[in-house]
Amino acid sequence: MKISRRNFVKLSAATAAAAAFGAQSLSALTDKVNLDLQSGEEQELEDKFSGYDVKYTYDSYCPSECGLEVWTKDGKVEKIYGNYADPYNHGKMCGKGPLGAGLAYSLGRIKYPMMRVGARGEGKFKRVSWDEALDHIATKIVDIKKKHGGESIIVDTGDMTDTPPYYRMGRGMGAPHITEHGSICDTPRRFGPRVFIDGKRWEPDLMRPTLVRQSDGSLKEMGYDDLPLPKYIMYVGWNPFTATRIHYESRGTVTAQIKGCKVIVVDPAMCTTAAQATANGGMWVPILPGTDNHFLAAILRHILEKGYEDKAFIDEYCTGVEEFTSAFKSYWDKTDSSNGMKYFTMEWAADKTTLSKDKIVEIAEIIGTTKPGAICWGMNGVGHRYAGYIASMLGTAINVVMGNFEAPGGTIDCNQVRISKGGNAGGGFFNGREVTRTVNGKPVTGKQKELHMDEMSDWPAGWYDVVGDHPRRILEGIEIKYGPFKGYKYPIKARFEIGGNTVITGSATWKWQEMYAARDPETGEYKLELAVSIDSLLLENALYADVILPAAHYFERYGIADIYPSAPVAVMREPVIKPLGESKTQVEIMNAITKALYEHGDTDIDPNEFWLKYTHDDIFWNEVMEPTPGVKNVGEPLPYPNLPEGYKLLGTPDSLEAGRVTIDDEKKVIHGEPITMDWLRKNQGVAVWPMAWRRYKQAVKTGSGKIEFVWSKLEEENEKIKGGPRPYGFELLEKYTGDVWDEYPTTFFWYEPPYNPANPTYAATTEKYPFQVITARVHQGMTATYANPQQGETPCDSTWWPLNREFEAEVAEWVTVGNDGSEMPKGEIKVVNKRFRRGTYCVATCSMNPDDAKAYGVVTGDVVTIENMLGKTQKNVVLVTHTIRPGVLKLPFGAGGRFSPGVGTTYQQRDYTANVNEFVDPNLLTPIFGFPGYLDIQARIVAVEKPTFATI
Amino acid sequence: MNELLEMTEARMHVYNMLRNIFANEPTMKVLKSLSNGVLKDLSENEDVKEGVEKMAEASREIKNTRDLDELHAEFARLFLMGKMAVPPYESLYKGGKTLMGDAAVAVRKEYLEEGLQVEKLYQEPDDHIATEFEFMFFLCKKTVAALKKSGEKKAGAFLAKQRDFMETHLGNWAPQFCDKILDSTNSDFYRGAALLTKGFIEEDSRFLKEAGEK
Ligand code: SF4
Repeated sequence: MKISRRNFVKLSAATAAAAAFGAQSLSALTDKVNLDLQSGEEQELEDKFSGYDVKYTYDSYCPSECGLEVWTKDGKVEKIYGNYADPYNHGKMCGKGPLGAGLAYSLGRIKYPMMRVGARGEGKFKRVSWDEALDHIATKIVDIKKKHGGESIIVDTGDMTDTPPYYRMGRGMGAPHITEHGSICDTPRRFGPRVFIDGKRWEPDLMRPTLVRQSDGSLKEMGYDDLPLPKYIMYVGWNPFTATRIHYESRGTVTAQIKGCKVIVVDPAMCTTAAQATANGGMWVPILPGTDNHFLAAILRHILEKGYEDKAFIDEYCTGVEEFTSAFKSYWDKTDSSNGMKYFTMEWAADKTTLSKDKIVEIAEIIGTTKPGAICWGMNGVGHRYAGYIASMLGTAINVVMGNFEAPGGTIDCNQVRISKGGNAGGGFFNGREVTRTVNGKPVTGKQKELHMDEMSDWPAGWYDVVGDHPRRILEGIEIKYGPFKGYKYPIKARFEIGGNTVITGSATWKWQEMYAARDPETGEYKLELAVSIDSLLLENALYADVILPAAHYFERYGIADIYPSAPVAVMREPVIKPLGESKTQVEIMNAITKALYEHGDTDIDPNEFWLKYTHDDIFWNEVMEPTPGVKNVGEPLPYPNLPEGYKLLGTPDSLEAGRVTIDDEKKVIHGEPITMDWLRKNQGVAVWPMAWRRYKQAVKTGSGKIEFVWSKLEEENEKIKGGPRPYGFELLEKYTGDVWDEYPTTFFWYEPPYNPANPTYAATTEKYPFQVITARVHQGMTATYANPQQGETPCDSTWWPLNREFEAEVAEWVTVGNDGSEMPKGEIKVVNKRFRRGTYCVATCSMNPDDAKAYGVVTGDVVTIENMLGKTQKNVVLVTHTIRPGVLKLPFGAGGRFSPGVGTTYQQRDYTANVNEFVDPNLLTPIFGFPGYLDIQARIVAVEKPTFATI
Repeated sequence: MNELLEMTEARMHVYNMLRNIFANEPTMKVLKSLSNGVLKDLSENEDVKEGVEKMAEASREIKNTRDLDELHAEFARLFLMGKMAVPPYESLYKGGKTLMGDAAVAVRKEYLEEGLQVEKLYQEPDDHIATEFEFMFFLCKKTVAALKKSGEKKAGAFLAKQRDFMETHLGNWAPQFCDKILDSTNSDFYRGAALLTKGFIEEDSRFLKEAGEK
């Protein structure tokens, strides 16, 4: 052998180098080959699907959590289908579901624990081992707890329903405040259901197919042709065709329409649902933003004046109706000084909403004379508004007085009839733990939960936690104002955030950034001493974290989905692929953190409650399902006529069906065989229990057992605040509306929306800032999903439009690879690099009415600078369109102004797209729940830029 | 024969070093050795020489843990997080745009043929540059053992395998990877590492080709 360049590397130097770099053994590779060998069953699958392995799990691309069937090959996700066994989506997916692999294998995945090297927000991190990361966290937490107690820790569990391990972890370490994304999403929408029935989410009865007990005793899957459907549906600020939150609502609405249902969409913008409605005999009602209250009040007045209400229903199921209606009617003779008209009359509502009187009368007549039907309101309006409680209260009241609640084809509170889950697994019992604190020099003993930063302090009725106020609370500290610890003060020093992105969504964005960056003037250290982000993608929130822990993607972890079917359904999540890099599941992370705390001397942690107990994820999730389904055997037709009526049902559908049960007559509980992960594995990942209607004994959870028009929920809160200081929310209410509350309203109430042209108090602001800025989600995208470039290929409403400047991105494309003679061409989806010319890729878009555009000389593609009522300015590219009413600018939520390089193409568009939450007034927090007024924004246009060669 | 053995041993050490450079952040100990000129006479190749020099200089600039953190943060920015500036995966240079692309499965087969698999199978993409370097390191090691024991014949097969792997995998994307580093960072440490790697791969490709032609 002759080697001419044999000296290109010298052995002596190379040997020295090798010595310097250490190890000579293999590390990334191993000779212990251990490919998952095919057992008998797997071999069968292998033959059938030529190498694919099929598993059932559920999606989390959006919070709809549709059941999925995922095909993997070589350990990799190859195909994603809807799971037919899940009645929620019934084999279907929206366009995003199949794109899940784009997130799982995104280059933006966080694969290792990281620690901050630069300043918060700078985005500079180094990789560390799990041990180093845990050591840092545990050292800090133990120190913080020593100085300030567990109450100085917040655990924010983000937007998924598979987070009970984090609840357990937080409560176990002594933190009473475990929050979730639901705390900053839509809580005013839930107000009505909450106070009337202790419920949450009212949706039209549209979930089909559904299992129904037949008169011959058999159970039958019944579809759209077999069961009544709503004859009208009114969506107020709710756009289910885009916000695919309730998956069956889209297919259900279309089918109902085909069968003659009138769909009315009340929205300042012609959203997809409105467009769909108008094309099929329904209506778009382009209301002035923020006047849904006025609109619904006029409808209720009309119903009562005409005597359309269902008196028999009211007599049987309701209480306090007289007090409510008399409070409501007390306005009828009053004149509204702003327009000289009587409250809640059609003329008055027409003036406030800018709709025609005839239109409102027409709608009120439909609602008053058609049955069954449903009014449904959502986060595109009511749910994200300062005065949203009122629309929620009125919507609930109308649904009830018309007798539509729980009627076939009526409206259902999906929260009340879904499965119970969690039980002890969520660690709620830790909140009952006794703690002692020194208050005004004296030791006081009470329960962990009595140190709650909201319910025991500024937000006594902050039932959903007041995340929107976290920046202020962290900057100013907490003072306990009610209960045994009254007078006790403590700071918030640590915050865990799991799969959330509050820096973009948590209320006024800048206030969050300010909070994270704030330093203690004495020590120079960050005020919030520890910020931990647990996520699978690098979002903006992580840029402010001290430690980032890699969380398993939804294809890599476990969970139980329960949202929001109209009958009990449990859907299993289990890993279909292995966690990428060093990412871990929720149970593993809970175990790892609590173990580290224990090893650092945290005496609150009992090993038997964590890592010694949950040695496998299944053990945890089986425990989560101990209270499942947990609904009562009630309704028409009775779900289990063979079992005692009214008793609570526990266990698998098959055991209940076969009567393999034990009955506890004292507690009125029927125990079937426990439902477990293994049971679900054998049943296509899904358990379905029978549907019924008129399940009032299950759906109405108030103390009185009746639908309450005088709200005991708030009467209890009034007891709590008696003798204590006025809740902070009342101070804000007075500041923003002039209304004075000394206690919580316990029946009909009214106040006008702030920052709104319909409110004369804001006449000066309206004059200076003539536009209202409204916002809604794109494709129900969550802030992480923009990391998936495919999302940019599908326009949505008029807020996600191909108005990009030229850029390069990776996108999925269908590549045809030949035709085998069948009808469908053969091909596959490939991700390819592509240069996008201007105007070919969707970006966050501000929609603007042509009349307004003309007045400002704006054409589509121009970039406007918008200034809000607080003087904050941002830029956004404009779409001029008739789908938005004049005087309103609509921007997408979470899609613009994205400043983390981990969010894919959206990052490239940050200079000409706005993060609409930058415009939110951080102090505008609703009086009861402390929810941010995300949609109460007034603005003006201060500059218009025409695209130039430099910008395109 | 002794020359071939010596050469393969040297190459083995270099591959061992390269897999370390791209798999892990450098420790203070490594930087110290580098700043002491441990790689000084590694090769006559111009790129390698310049690379070695840059790495040595950069290593001398790392004086405390703060500096070290900054270097580690640069490693993270380039190769680890937030849409890595220079994704270290072969698939990304072969038209794929996500992790676990086609090349990951292709190299998995190559490893399996030699009785190896990625330690964290299905969790770490198989086509990470450091893993491919490690595979070459392994093949060199096998070659050395064969040369010592049974002479050139068996070694020839291992050399052929190296040549194949270089031609179908490493050799046709590592240079681009190095160029991308040069385009993406001001860090002399990683610019140096890129030059060193580029120069070495160029020489080694030639070496393997010539060894094959005998
Ligand atoms: S609706 Fe949501 S959960 Fe269902 S397929 Fe679409 S993205 Fe997935």
